[in-house]
Amino acid sequence: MCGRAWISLTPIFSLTIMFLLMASAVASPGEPVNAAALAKALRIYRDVSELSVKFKQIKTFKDISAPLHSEGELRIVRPDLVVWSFTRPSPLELRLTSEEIKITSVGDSGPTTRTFRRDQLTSTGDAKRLQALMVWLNLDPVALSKSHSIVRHPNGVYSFTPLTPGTDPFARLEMALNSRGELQHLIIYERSGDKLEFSFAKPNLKTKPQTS
Amino acid sequence: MANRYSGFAAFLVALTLPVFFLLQRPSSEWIDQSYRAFLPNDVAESLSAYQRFPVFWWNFLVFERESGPGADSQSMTKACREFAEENKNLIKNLPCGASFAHALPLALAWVADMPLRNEPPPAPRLQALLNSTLAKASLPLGPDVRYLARLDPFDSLRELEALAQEKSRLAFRREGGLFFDSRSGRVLAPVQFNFPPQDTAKTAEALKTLERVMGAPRLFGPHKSTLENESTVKNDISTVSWVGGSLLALVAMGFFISGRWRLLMFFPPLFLSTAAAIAMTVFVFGEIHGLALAFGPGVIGLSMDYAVHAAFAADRKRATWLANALGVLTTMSVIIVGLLSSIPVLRQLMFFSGSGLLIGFACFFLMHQCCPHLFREKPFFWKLRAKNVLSPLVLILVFVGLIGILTFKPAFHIGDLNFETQETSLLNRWLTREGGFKTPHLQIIDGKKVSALISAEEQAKWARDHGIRAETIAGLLPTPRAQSSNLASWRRLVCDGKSIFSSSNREFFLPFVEKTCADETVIRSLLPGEPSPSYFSDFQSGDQWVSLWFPDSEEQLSELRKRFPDTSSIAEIAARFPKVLVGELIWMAPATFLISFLLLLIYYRSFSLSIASILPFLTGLGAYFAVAAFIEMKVSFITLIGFIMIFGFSLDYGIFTTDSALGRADEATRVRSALTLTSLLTLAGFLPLIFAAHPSMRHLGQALLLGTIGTFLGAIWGAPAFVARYSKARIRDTVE
Repeated sequence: MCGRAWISLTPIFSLTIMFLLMASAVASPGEPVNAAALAKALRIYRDVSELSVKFKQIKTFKDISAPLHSEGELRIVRPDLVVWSFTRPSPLELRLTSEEIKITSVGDSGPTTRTFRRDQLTSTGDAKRLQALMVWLNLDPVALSKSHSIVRHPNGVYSFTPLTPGTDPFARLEMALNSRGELQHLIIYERSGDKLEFSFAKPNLKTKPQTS
Repeated sequence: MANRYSGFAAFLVALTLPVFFLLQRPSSEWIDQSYRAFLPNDVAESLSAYQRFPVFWWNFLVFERESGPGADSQSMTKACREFAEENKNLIKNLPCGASFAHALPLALAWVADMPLRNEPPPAPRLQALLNSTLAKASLPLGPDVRYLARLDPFDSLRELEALAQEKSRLAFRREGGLFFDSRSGRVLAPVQFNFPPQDTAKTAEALKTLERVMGAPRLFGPHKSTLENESTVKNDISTVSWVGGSLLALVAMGFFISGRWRLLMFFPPLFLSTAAAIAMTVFVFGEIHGLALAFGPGVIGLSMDYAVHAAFAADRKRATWLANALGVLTTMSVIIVGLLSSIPVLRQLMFFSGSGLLIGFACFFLMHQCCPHLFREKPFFWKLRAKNVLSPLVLILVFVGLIGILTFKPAFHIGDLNFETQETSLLNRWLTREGGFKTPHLQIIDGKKVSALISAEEQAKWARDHGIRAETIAGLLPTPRAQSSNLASWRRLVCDGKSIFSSSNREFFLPFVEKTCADETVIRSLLPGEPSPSYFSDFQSGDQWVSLWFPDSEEQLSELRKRFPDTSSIAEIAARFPKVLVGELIWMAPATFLISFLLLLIYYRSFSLSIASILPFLTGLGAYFAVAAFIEMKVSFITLIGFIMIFGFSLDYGIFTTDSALGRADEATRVRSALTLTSLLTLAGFLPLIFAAHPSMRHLGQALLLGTIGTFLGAIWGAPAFVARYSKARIRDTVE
């Protein structure tokens, strides 16, 4: 019997096209972006308290030719909760807070949860990666501007390069916004040479209650 | 005369030689401070199993509510990490400060052997596990985690985690490697050192960091207990040496002030003979225990009996030395019987005392032979009124002594050899009662005689069939035959043309495929000398393997003993100790008494005079039991050892005064003077022991101190009066 990760040809084809378009956009010279400009680009997320969005993900390893495909749902509750749930290839939930990381997998004998305090993970590596991702997913333009050099490329593609490359686990991030300003694609280039590519569906947004 | 001087000088030089050689080695090499020497060899060997296997090297860091780096687990974890980092060469496992990097080698070793350990699960489960691993691999995790995932497609690491969880069974809430007791507010952090408890220097090193990094937690467990015992013995040696030395110095000053400076000349050869006795004991036994060393000043006091007795004797040289010789013989009879004990420290104590006494006796005899005029001294003319009738005090003490010896019930508990602070004792009770902490029964598999894995499998199967929880190496890896079968099953799934992996997944799980399909994959037999994977280390000591049993009821325990009679627990091992001891004392005590009494009968040719010589022993016992009745003094088996020692030296006093009662009045005065002085010296030698913290030393000191006082009373106011009353020989003039 063959074990298979879930693969569908159509999404792969469309994802590939999108990422090729992003790559060509980034290859063109872009213009630097400051916090205000980034805030304007991400204005639809300014008053969001909670966000949930379906995604498709491709992970490409530096030394392995075949990528891993997965899909699931991302839920962000500001300021410090990220729930990254996979539905395929297997149910898996990664729950990130400022204090701990919980990984819950569901098998035939029921769910199994492993909890790691942030300081239980290696100081350079896993915790930093997940923490950096969590900070990034909050889409705070001020925080992102302070820690990254941001360039805007054609077709709504932005590239983020860490200002302190020695300490950041990611070498570069690229995001593409659609015409409505919604995050459509995200590519994370890890320092190890691995690459994570996300394609997001239309998000469900909950805004903060207005104070009178 | 020149020959006498030169002969004596040669003797003294000969004594210095062993001392010289001993001093070339550091004292840490020849002073033993462990408690193993208190135990018979077979009991010590059985108990040592609890120290040899790393599975028993777990201790607890105990944080009280008020102490510690912080009440919350996050602060504790941070402190744990710092402690682990600073002591990484001392700590094998510290769950509260665990880092992935630290656990990685063990995890890799575990997952590498998965195809040997497990047969492939059914297809749906196989696929589910694979998909789960692929999902985890999709996360942005580091190269170590990724490599682990590539080597472990079916998440066998869960089994290792489940085994670890199984081990830590305490009735407290568990969170992140810490246990929280809501009732007492205490927090427990289990810690496993990577060295045995006997390596107390490393435990002390770890404790220093502990205080600095984690506030003031207490360490509780075998390492702390061993360190505590050793420290106590070490401190007690120091205390006894200082107090004993100071008291002897005071007595020496008393000699000088009273104008009896010639008595001071006995001290140098006395110290030399004691040092030579230490050297000889180390030569014979390889080391000398702190308890035996602490006994040293007492031996000094005993040796002086003969020197002082002869110094105060006027011109009765032959009779004096005959009495001295009988004293040595009777004392040596006690010592020789004691040398046959199975308790190592007792043998050392007896050898040390015996060799010290004999060398001291030889020294003083030679001194008196060589230059009798040099070493004669005028007695102290104290007005000790000895009467012809037994004083009421002596009668009472004899009565109490007889009743006491017939009715007392000593506690033969191995715990008397263990020094435990009150704090440790309270923690022990709390952990057992509130935490449900249980010490397992253990069973050792000798890998040189049987196949460890096959034996463990038999144990595990029996345990499963009878519903008894057991931890054996069978839970880590099955028998070699099962390993071969499992490996073959995996190879059929993974290595042949039809693989469980898709072409894309196969590349990701290539490390697993290569490892499983490699011809060099080793079936593990755990034969002697064969290297074993790191996940076996807790259960291994050389070629021996330990299995742990956790019977829940008496019925289960009974079944276990029937099936595996070689299992044992600490309680059962400890229970062997009193049986060994009682078995020895049953013949030692009567043998000692009979031999000595026989010698007395041969010497005196009179039953009544022999009884008179034993009277000081009875009053010595009486003094002990009289005080014990008022003060809560624990009578342990060490007290009995003390009684045997009292018997040895009390006979000296009894012989001296019985002899003097048959002689002239001034002879009686001289002997009483000598006995008073020697009693003071003996007291000075044994008194320091009662200040010792270790219960063994304290019990010995109590027995010897009170015994000496009672012996003195019986010697002065008992034996002469008994001779006057009941012997055909009469004291000519004893009333002063």
